[in-house]
Amino acid sequence: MNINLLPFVFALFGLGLFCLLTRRSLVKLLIGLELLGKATTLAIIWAGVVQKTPATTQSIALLVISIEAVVVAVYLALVYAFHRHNQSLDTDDMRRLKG
Amino acid sequence: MTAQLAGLLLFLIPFAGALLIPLVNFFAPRAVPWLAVLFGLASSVIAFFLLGGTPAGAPITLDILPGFFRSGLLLDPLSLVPALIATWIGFLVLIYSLGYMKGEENLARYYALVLLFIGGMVGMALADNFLALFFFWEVMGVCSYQLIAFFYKDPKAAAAGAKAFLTTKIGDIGLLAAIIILAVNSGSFSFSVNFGAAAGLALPVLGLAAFGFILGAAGKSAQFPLHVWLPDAMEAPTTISALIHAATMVNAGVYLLARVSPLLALVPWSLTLVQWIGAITALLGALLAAFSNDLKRILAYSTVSQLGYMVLAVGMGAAFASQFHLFSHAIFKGLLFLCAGAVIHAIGTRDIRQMGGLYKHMPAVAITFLIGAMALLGLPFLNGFFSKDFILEEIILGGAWGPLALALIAGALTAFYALRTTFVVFWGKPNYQTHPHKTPANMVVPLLALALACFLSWLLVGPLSEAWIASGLPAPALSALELIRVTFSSLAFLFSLAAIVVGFFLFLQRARLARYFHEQEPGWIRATSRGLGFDDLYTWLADRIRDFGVWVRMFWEERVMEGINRFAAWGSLGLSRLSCRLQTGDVHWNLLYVTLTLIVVLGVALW
Amino acid sequence: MMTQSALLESAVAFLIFGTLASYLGGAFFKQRERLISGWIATLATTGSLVYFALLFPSLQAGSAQVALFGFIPWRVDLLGWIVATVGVVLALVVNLYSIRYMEEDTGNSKFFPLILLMVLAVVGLAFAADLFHLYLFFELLAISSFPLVAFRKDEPKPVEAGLKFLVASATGSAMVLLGIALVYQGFGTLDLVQLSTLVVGGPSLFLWLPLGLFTVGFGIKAALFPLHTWLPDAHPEAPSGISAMLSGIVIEAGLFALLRVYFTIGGPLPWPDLLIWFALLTMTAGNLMALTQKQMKRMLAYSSIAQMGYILLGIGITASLGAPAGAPGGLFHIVTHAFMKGLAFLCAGALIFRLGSGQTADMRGAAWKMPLTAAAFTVAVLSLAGVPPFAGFMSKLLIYQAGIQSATTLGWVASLIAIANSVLSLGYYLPAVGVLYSKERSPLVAAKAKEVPFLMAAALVILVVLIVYLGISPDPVRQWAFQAFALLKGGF
Repeated sequence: MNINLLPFVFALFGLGLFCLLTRRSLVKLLIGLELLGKATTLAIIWAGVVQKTPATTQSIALLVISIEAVVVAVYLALVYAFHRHNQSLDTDDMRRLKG
Repeated sequence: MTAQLAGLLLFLIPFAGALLIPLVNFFAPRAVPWLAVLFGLASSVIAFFLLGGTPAGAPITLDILPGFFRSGLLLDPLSLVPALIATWIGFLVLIYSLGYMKGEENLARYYALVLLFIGGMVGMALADNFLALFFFWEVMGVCSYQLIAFFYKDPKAAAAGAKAFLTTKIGDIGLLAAIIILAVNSGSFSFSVNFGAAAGLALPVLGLAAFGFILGAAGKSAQFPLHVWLPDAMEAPTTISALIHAATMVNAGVYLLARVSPLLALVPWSLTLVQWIGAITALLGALLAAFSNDLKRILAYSTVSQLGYMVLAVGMGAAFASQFHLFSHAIFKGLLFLCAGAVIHAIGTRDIRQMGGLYKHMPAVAITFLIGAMALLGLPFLNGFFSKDFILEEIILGGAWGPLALALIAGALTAFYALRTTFVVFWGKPNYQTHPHKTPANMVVPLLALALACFLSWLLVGPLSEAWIASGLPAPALSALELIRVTFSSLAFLFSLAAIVVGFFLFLQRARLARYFHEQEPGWIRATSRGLGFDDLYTWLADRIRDFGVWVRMFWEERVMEGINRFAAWGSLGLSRLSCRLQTGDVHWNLLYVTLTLIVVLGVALW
Repeated sequence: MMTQSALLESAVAFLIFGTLASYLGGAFFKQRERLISGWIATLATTGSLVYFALLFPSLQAGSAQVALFGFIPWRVDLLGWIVATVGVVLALVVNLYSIRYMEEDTGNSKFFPLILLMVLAVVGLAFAADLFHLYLFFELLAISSFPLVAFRKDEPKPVEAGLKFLVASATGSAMVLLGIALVYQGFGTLDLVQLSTLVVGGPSLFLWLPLGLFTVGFGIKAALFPLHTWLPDAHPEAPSGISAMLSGIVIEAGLFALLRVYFTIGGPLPWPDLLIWFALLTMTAGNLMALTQKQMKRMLAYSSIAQMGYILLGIGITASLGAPAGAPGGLFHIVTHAFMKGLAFLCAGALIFRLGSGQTADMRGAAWKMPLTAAAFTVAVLSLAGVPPFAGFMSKLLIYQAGIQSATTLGWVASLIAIANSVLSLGYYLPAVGVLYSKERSPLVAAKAKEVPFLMAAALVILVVLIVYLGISPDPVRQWAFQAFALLKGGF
């Protein structure tokens, strides 16, 4: 096999980081986190392909996705609570704690 | 008992007593004075065993610090005098204290200190090397400071203690410096080694050492210009001021000078310096005594004056004469102080203007005081007469005319104040309200013993000089008879007789003198009543030194150290505020740190 | 005699069923949910602790493979046991403390189960035999701590702290997972013991990238400077019991994972002294930032960052300079730090419980009305600063020794900086104690302060006794730490 997915994985990961750094909305932050997550999931799958143990890695990937779902659920709950307090989703309103 | 063992016990017993007394005080405070007397008695009895002349056999030596420092006993007539004075007068002090200190607080401390002092003085006298001498010298210093300030609740007493401590400390520094100079040169602390090696030292260095010793002696013996502490030390209980200081401790300085006289002889100017110090002190002491109205102060100044004679004798190279006078002086001055103590005990004041006519109430005290005073002014056939004439004779032989003149004037003044004091206190017009207390018997007994000694002690000149010669110290071979012959046939006899006559004349004219001084009030008389300004000068100096210390402390603590502190505090707090700025509270910044760290870590790996 | 796996399964079962029972019990008896939930959780941790104690003798020989409940691959060793047991002990104390402490809060039937879940995650993390399970328990730990940080969701600050914590943590997790994927791609296995043998001859090209990702990923969890930014927000805003857990064991778990990874596949380290530099930076920054804090718990949170630096320094000195005392010192410091930082947070919580304010200035003079709390706080803080008769001194001493033992310039400098940092840390610990023992009293203290109730006091006393005991006779535990590393072969 001549293709290598790793550069794509890193690009996706970098994109996720870029999103996290620059987008000032909590929802877009979630998308950034998801991009990171998808990049790693892809890396896991690709590792299985390289090592020729696709079944193992795919089960791992499934587990990872379900864990991410839990994290997202908690995240959204917190965002909901945040919105209730601030009536906004802007990270600029999330600067009470500092110093 | 050999003399060596006796010498060892002589200072170990008082030390043991000083250690034991605080313990005994826990369960039997009443027994403390008697215990102290017992220890004093033991050491004064043992002191008799030292009188056997120069001991045969090797002296006792102990390895204090093996390989580095060993100390031993030096038993010769020179060292015996202070040791015997310390033990015997110390014993008298202890007996006298039984009555005098009755009912005072902290008696255990008092008796322990007295015993410690006795031990320290004996140890100082019997030490065969400079280090041990210095150690015991300091033990004495600390005890005397503690005893002067014994009534520490009285601010005057506390101040007097501090003054004595600081003044003598100046001398101690000189002494220590001298010892260090010698030890560096010879690599040993031993007297004999150092005296042998001293000749190899350069004259300026040796002169420095000699000056250090003179300074040390001047401090301890209250010599000009470090005499200021002794009058103030009269704040102590009479027993202490009288016996410990005036009669005992001050002799340490004279002893030191006599001990190092071989060394002083190597430095030409040092003996002249010692002569002048002695002469000036003798005159100054007598002058101050003549114008004092405080009984104890008069005696204290008188002691300073008499010590001046002794130092003068040492300066003439006549150590024997000085020790002979020291011996006499210890007896008659001890007697005078004990009488003064009895008087003060009876009247409750120290001011002689409030006394008078006490002969009626305490004839025994009056007569013995008179005997003491006559010995002091040098009436023939009393011990003071022989020893003082001996010194004058030595001065004439040495041809030191300047010091001689001062000494003679001092002699006249001595006669004046001795007569004046005796008369005013015991025979003058009664001038007190309270009824005098009776003198307790245990206070009278020592008086009588000492008065008798005033008549007889000079007879010991024969054995004394024999002992000196036998142990290789320079002394003229004299028997008592010869002493009489030499004394009465010398020029000095005429001089001293003249001085006494002048003093007597002054005494007779005292009313006119008093009127003159009262009406004219010349400046120097006012100065005399203030100790001739030495106290003021020293106070001023001490203040300047303290100001300097305060300034140095201010500079170091407030500027330098506080500056460092402040800089450290300011720096860390500033850094803290700066680093807290990193905590922006913005989630994007947080993530930026993460990303940057990742890049740096991976970058380091690649690089 | 039970087998090792049976003992472990019992210990874990206590935690799992304790979680369920605590939640269900609280949910069924809404009126008394705090008491029922709390006591069930306390009992569950106690039971678990008993089985951990029984497990100890079988660990002297070395590590053993255990398939927990037949499917979770664990390797049991002394190193993991120490961390797991400390976690359980701390959870026990925190449960006991929180029964009274949480009386003002609602939803306690979720609070205690989450604590148990947290401990479960710590235990799983301590024994996980492969990288994936390491990650799995890590996520469990993170997921259970997010709701606990934001437990008081009706206030804005805890929610904000929870969000920041979550974002940072999720980023870290993604990095770790990416690293794991890369390791798998390079070696075809995730089992740590197998990896440790493969690493020696394997392709080292694949190692620096995953190791870098692990360092940063776990570094975020362990709050290494400058990845620490979530910690000063999250720890103070959590309920005090949770602060104690978070500072006492959760961030240490991150460091422990890093330690595992470094001791397994960190052999051919591409950057030898990285951990030491991280450690020095972390402790200095933590201490500096703690200096000017106005809130008691925030100050303690920054001090946690500094203490992480000490632990990492110990590990780093052994990993890169080879001094044998370092890693055991770090491990021992994990133990002592769990107790002393736990105690410090619980004391701060006790003060907040009575005063209702977390500002240090409001606690002026509280010691005269809450003598036990103040005394316990003093013990905790002195121990944290490394003052002799307390546990913190013993563990810090080992770390200093290690630096000097290494006989390298870096080791010496590191030890000196660590010692200087201890002095610096006194600059905020002592004023805090001074405020408590001040003669004048703040209005809040005058109005509200009184000694804490019995259960909370009991929790404080337990920790004080542990700290003093470890300070006076550190030896059984200190020896265990040395033994744990002596037994270590290929990460286990």
